[in-house]
Amino acid sequence: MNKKLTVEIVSFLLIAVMLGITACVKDSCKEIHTYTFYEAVYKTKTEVRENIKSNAPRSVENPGKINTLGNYIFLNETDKGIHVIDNTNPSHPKNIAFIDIPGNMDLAIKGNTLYADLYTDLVAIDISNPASVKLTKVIDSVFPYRYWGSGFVATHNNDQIITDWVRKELTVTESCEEQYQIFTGRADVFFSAQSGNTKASASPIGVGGSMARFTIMNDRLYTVGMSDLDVFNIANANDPKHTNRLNVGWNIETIYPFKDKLFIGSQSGMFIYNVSNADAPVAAGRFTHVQSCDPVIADDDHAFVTLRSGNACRGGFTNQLDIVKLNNISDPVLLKTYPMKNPHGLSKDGDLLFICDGDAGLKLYNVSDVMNLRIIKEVNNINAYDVIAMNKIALVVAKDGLYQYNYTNPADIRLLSKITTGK
Amino acid sequence: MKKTTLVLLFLPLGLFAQNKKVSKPGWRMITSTGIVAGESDTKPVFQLSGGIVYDRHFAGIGIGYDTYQFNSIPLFADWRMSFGKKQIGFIYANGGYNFPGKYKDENEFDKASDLLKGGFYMDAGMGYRIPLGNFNRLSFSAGYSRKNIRQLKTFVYPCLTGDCPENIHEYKYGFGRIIAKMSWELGY
Repeated sequence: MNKKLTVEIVSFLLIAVMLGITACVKDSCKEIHTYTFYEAVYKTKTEVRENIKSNAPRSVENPGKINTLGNYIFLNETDKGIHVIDNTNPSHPKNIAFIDIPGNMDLAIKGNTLYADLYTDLVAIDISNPASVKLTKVIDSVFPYRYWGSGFVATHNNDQIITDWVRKELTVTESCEEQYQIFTGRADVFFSAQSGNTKASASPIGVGGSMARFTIMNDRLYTVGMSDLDVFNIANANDPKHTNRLNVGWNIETIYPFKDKLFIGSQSGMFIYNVSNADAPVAAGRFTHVQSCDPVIADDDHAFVTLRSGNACRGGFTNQLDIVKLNNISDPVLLKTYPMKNPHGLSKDGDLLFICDGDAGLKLYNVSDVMNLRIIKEVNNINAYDVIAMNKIALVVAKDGLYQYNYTNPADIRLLSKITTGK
Repeated sequence: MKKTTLVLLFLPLGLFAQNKKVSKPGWRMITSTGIVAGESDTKPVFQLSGGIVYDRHFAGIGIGYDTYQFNSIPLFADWRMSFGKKQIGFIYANGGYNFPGKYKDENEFDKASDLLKGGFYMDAGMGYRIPLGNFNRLSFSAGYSRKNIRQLKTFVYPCLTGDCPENIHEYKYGFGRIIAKMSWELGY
């Protein structure tokens, strides 16, 4: 190889390497977007209503609100219907039937009648024989806020009702410079559950959890929507009548009855309504808090309000229990705040306060001194959503099923049974 | 042209073949600091390699810290070949996997998770050494480096019934950079 050729080769090599490197010096970015959305499956109103009966039991998949009366537990399968569970033996509950109610989120029970929402409709169901329930009445379009996405109202002025959603996926690949935006998903139906009132009544009233949007007080069913408080006269249990609607604010979430008061939880505060006149509740007091989700329960002296942040609740990073003094209903005063992780439903039995603290589990406090809550027990291995504590049995709705604990000895609460989700 | 191509292909072997002396195996530690200059930024990098030297070859493994766009920790195989009568010149190639480093994700509405995933890493180039006695050398090199990294963002949109809609955004980044390093080589 002569010297001239060597110089040519080296020069060529250097130029090639430099050009190659220059061409390769760049930042590249490729985006792969996987969008999920849900496609509606429809049935006619007639088909849906004919199917509101005791159908074959189904596995629990997305447990929601809960209500219990006598030996039965009625557990909402979010957006699908209600599981009927024979709880004669809490150690061995039996899932005996499923009532198909598309769009169902809430329920309340008085005597032999169960009230539930079917999207925008209220349905009354005779449950005198839980193994063979019967639809007795439908009040159409009474919950106009209960619509699904894109402005579509599931049961309003339309014979088609959404009974299920099928998950679909769409994948789009693009370079990062392009901005390909797809709006996906669906609008929401609102959270709901059932709140309890064990006050004496001609017919026994089912006890629900603190996440409820339906509650019963004497002969009235009270329901809350995004901004409304609706009143139904249920003196004739199988023939409910809508008697009143009041605007009570915005972002309303829960309702809880105590004596002659309704405690309404909203994302901005707790409202107290006096129901001396059952059909015309009157605002009696208000406690304002930071923007967050806030189930509330109350006793004679205090209201217990859990505030939580999260996707649906927005509003920052507030996760706490507020204890509010109720001596003067017109001017509730915050007594003390206790930090929590992500509190949801709560229930009180005497001096025992049960709090579902999301994935931090179920927490049990002694609240004899509200200024100095004492934790008695934590159950850490569940993601608890709502709880009903009574008669030494705590019914806990969790992400993975329905748990029952015996708290005869609060320091040593024991798992009696669990109905596991079928997911 | 064919002859030129063959010469280019076999040039490294030719360089290697120039020294027919067979030496004893030894060890070497190489600590490097340098910069990477890419399309959008210039950032420092750090590397530490250790391995065996045999004849003109060095083979070892190394670990680094690369701060270009996303902090990452490359773990790589390191190969070097010296050339020249005094083995002052060298070419090198590193290849391996790039582990994501500490990442501070930005707050975004409805974001459920934001994860970085690793990817391919390489660094190749050439350089020269300045001997500092028999045991130490200072070397300078320049080359091309590439690191790939993936970012997975999941957004779950608020819903209160059933499974909530979620969108998964995967970003596949590839960063091609010029790399210049100064190294201290310790060993035989």
